[in-house]
Amino acid sequence: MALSRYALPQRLIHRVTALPPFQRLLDDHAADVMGVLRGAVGRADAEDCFQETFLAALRAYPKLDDASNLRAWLLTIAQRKAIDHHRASGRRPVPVAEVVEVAVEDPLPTGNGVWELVGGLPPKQRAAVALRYACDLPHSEIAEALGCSPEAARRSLHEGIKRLRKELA
Amino acid sequence: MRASLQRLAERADAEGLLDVAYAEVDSPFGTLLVATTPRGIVKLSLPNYDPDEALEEIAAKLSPRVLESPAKLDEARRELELYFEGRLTEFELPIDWQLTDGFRGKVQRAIYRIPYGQTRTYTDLARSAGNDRAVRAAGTACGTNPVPILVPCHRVLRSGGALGNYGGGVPMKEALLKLEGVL
Repeated sequence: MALSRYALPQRLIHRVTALPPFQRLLDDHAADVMGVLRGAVGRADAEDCFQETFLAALRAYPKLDDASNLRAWLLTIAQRKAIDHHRASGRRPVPVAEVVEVAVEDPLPTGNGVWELVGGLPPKQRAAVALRYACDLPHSEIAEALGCSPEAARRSLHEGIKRLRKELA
Repeated sequence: MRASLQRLAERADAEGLLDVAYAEVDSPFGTLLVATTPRGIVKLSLPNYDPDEALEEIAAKLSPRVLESPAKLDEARRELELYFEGRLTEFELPIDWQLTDGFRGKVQRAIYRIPYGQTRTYTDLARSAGNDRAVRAAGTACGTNPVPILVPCHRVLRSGGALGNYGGGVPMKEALLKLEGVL
């Protein structure tokens, strides 16, 4: 039958591109996205960014080509919403007297409560830590998001991590 | 987090991004999964089926914009509760027939018209769907009914009067027919 000639490839294509029901993305990743946003923009504004993130995701979802890493996809959208938020709230670059080059490639300690502590950091450090470790942005893009120089971004990140380590110790 | 998710479902609905809303609904037979589109109830999954599979089927065939939204199924929950209590004989919920088509769709529409407390045979159904020799296909149509209970395939029996099969299990079929006063 003609049907069987077409049915098989179609089923295969379907399997490659099948998107899970959107609710599953919420079940699996909503808490992470909220945690990251609390870190990036603070608890008070995280809710708005959370809504914007998932509405944008829902809008784009049916046309998403690659469903292999939905968590990364969501965190990328969250990152953009956090950046939009920072731009909209008009944070000015903070002048930095001296630039200290410090390697900060050690992974941020994970576990319960780390993002809560991140939420307690001063805004600039908080945003830098979230953008670096949750959204995996390089220093240059963190700088762009925060409207400061890459050196200043690096310094905010360093200060934030130092403070977190002290609080976790 | 619960409040955030509820707000999200409401905003998605307001912006036309909620293609399929679903919720769990309690029944005397176990938990049902009920899903609705803006057009009507599109899927009802009986307790012995995997609800995740039902949601995956919806995502693949209708739209992946599927969200849990109990508020969108309040009316379905109300009518089903009344039905299981024996206090409702005709559902007013609209049906969305998107998950069915062709001959099966015709048979399922014929099933939909069987009144409360009455039964038909698979042969009757084949005939009312326009092909009285397609008895086996009529059976398949019952087996693939996307909205059991609301589309009452439990009212379809074998020609000899035997109960025949039921997706939710024969004991459930028997219980529904007793509820409706047939048995």
